[in-house]
Amino acid sequence: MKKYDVIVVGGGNGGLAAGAVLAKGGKNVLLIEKSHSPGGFATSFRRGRFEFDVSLHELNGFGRGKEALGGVRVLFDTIGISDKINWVDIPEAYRLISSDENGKIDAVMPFGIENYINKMEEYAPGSRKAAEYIFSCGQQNLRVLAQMGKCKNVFDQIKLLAANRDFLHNSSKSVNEVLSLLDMPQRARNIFKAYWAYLCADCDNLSFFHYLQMVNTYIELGSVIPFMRSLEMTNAMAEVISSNNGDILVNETVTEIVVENGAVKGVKTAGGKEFSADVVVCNASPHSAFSKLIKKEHIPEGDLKRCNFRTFSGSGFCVWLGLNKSAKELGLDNYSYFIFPDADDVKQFKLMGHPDTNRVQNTICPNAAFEGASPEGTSILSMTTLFNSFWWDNVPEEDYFRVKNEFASSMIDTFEKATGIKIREHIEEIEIASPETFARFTLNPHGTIYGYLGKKNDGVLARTLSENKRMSGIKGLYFAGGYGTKMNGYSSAMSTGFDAARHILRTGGKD
Amino acid sequence: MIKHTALSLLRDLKAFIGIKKERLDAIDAAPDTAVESSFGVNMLADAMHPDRISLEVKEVKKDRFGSFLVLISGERRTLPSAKPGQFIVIKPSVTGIKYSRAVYIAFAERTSYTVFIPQTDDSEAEKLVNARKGDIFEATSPAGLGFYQPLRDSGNIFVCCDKEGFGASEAFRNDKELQERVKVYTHLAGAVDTENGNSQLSVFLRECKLIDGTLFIFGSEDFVTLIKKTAEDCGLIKKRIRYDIISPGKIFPDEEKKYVCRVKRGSEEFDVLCYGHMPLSASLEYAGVECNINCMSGTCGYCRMKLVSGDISVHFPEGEEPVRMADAKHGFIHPCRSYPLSDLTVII
Ligand SMILES: Cc1cc2nc3c(=O)[nH]c(=O)nc-3n(C[C@H](O)[C@H](O)[C@H](O)COP(=O)(O)OP(=O)(O)OC[C@H]3O[C@@H](n4cnc5c(N)ncnc54)[C@H](O)[C@@H]3O)c2cc1C
Ligand code: FES
Repeated sequence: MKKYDVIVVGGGNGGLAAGAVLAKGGKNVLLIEKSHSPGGFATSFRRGRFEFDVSLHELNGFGRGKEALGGVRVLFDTIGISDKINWVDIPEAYRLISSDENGKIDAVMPFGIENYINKMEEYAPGSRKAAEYIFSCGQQNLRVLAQMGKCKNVFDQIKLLAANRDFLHNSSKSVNEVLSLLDMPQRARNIFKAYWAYLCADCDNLSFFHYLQMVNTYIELGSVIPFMRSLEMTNAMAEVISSNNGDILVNETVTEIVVENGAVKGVKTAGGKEFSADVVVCNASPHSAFSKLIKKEHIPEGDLKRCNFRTFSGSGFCVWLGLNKSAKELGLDNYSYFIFPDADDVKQFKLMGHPDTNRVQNTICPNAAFEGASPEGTSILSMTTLFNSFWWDNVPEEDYFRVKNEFASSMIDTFEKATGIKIREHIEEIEIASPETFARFTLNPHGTIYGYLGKKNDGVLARTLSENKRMSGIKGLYFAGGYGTKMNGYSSAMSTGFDAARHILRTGGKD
Repeated sequence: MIKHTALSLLRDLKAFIGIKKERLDAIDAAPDTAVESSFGVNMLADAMHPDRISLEVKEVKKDRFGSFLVLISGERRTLPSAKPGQFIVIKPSVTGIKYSRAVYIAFAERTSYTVFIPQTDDSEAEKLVNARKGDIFEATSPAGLGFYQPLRDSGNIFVCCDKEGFGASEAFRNDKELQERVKVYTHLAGAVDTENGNSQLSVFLRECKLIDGTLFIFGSEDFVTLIKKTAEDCGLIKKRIRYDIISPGKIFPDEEKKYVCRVKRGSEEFDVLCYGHMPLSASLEYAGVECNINCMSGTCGYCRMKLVSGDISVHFPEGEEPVRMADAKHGFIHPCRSYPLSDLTVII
């Protein structure tokens, strides 16, 4: 049986980041991926003359230019791929369209904190002070995070917290709790909260700290995407593994993570292969690992409880359209559209459980960001929403295609109605993914695309403060990816892989 | 903006400490029972798209141009649902078949598929035509993108096929919901003469354009390419032309254009012969190398491998890219659509 230093189970962003950093750091790595190519959600597919990205709307945390150093850039610099990818800047943050009873909003928000605040003031006069305060909190968050790890003892921590009172005050509160304390026009609040739809949690439940961290990074650093879709990053990370003597095994599903005496020993695959290693980085969800991959008698009570305590976040639903007219001809002038029937996030979140009532969507048009996103005279739209219930679990197979098509059709209607742009008659290619599709391609429970819900007692800060580096009581077992401590999203998933790899390089995986 | 006092410092510190404590308390209060492992959509995914299905021949009905095989699940289960225009790929090493074969589903029920196997001069296809009751095949789940999609296609459906695509046209004809709106042009024998105005075909295409129909073309590469071009010349827009190339053409080892393909797979390295007029995947399968064939039409990417050296020609419809951009950048190919032009080295 071949022995590796580290085996990575699953080649999503978390697995690839961990594998690449470890291979580059001199470890002998094996990455095993169930699909025909690594990437997980970070992949693309072709239909006719179009190439669609499965997931990436915008990459948070890369930054534009070397001076704006985001976490993803630090990772990519470490593995030497930052300059090997053809980056495209996203032109503006988002366009928010909400047909609110209390006043329709149609706002296009720019990147850059100052620009953003100025624009907000234009759309919602009287918002400047509050907006400035919010972004100053964002800077404070970053300062505290950077220094927290350097505190030697509890007194240092208290000193740090006492010096950053806004962080201290807001970190235990939800977005809506903090906003309610600010003198800020409702319209401005709604504009600021638009990104909630990315996270599948309403602002009563979303931690202010977490939300602000995301918004602050997006607005401050701007966002980018690779010209060749997310697969360009995926292939670059995979190549780091292969070119540093690592092995990547595709079309192979891990069926067991072998544990003996409380420590990882290796893995077994569906194809009957066995490999040994004292360290395993698991990019599959803890639910998969603790229900399917590790025998129950080896699972520490704490790991079972942690899984059972958690709530899944949203299951994904996407419609990709290849249109036979250019974005310009159609009037698709914006890259990212947040569309809400009304801006009350708590109300809308409640409606997101059922296809008859879920009318929230985020849609992107890559052609508005760069030329060559699709062939001349054509354009792409990619629509996403989330279901925060398990409604799709109960769709009978015989109804599946009809139900899926009906909901896709409603998403197209919603977009047409909100923007006034007629797209239906220009559909040359269409692909639809339901939670079933995401379950099929990533094995994620319920087809969730955002890991575990960042509910009040399981937000990013709560996780960071209470988890060990590995998120498991089994020696040598690490988790990396969207089900990890940093919540979901490209940068978060990569960052957990990066953290796991650095920890392994430092400690040999024995802590 | 928010006023902080000495008193609120204590309150905020307490709340901050509470963030960790609340989570740990909630975890502690959770049950230590087995973790939930079965989820509805995951089960649906397994039922609808199993990687492989086992099929048993229940009946063989000979036809002038081939055979209809009625296939049931080898495990006596229900079968994944299939849409008209979809096919299954029968895997090699069963009943002596050496390469994967795509066959259209002419009629699908929950417990059986009827597939059409065209009679060709290809000895591998012949083995399927001569299949017998009780034979067991391993196959992929229904695949292919040449199905009717109401959000994209017009309500009037025109299906054009040759012998290879005949099964697909039968599926459209057999579908209760679609059949009223389906018109079929079948070209079962001989070459299609479009230059001298194959009048029946021209009338068919003109009518399709006139009433804003969507044209579905199924069949062998040459046939599909020709009809697609004729339809475009006739003024049909891209959106109204759907197609699926089912057959990789005639495949049998031809000693004339023979090359060596060095295969690297994990720590193994070995050479196999590959042939210039066969897709690389067929040559590999012929040599007993499994290459995860799924759609055979270059779209699903299951067979993706890295071409390290050598030249290939890619058979792919004009105007479409054979692989994803980032795959092209990193040297990946789809061997099911790649024909060798020289000795090759590939990493599987
Ligand atoms: C439609 C959509 C839009 C999104 N938009 C954005 C965006 O704009 N910005 C952003 O930052 N994020 C976005 N995300 C989220 C982002 O894609 C994910 O957070 C991230 O890619 C998750 O990475 P991961 O490491 O958790 O791995 P995953 O992508 O979940 O991959 C896990 C991998 O493990 C493999 N695997 C699982 N079990 C096994 C096993 N037993 N054996 C072998 N392999 C196994 C799977 O096949 C898969 O490849 C979006 C997601 C979706 C679906
Ligand atoms: S088998 Fe689908 S691309 Fe080759």
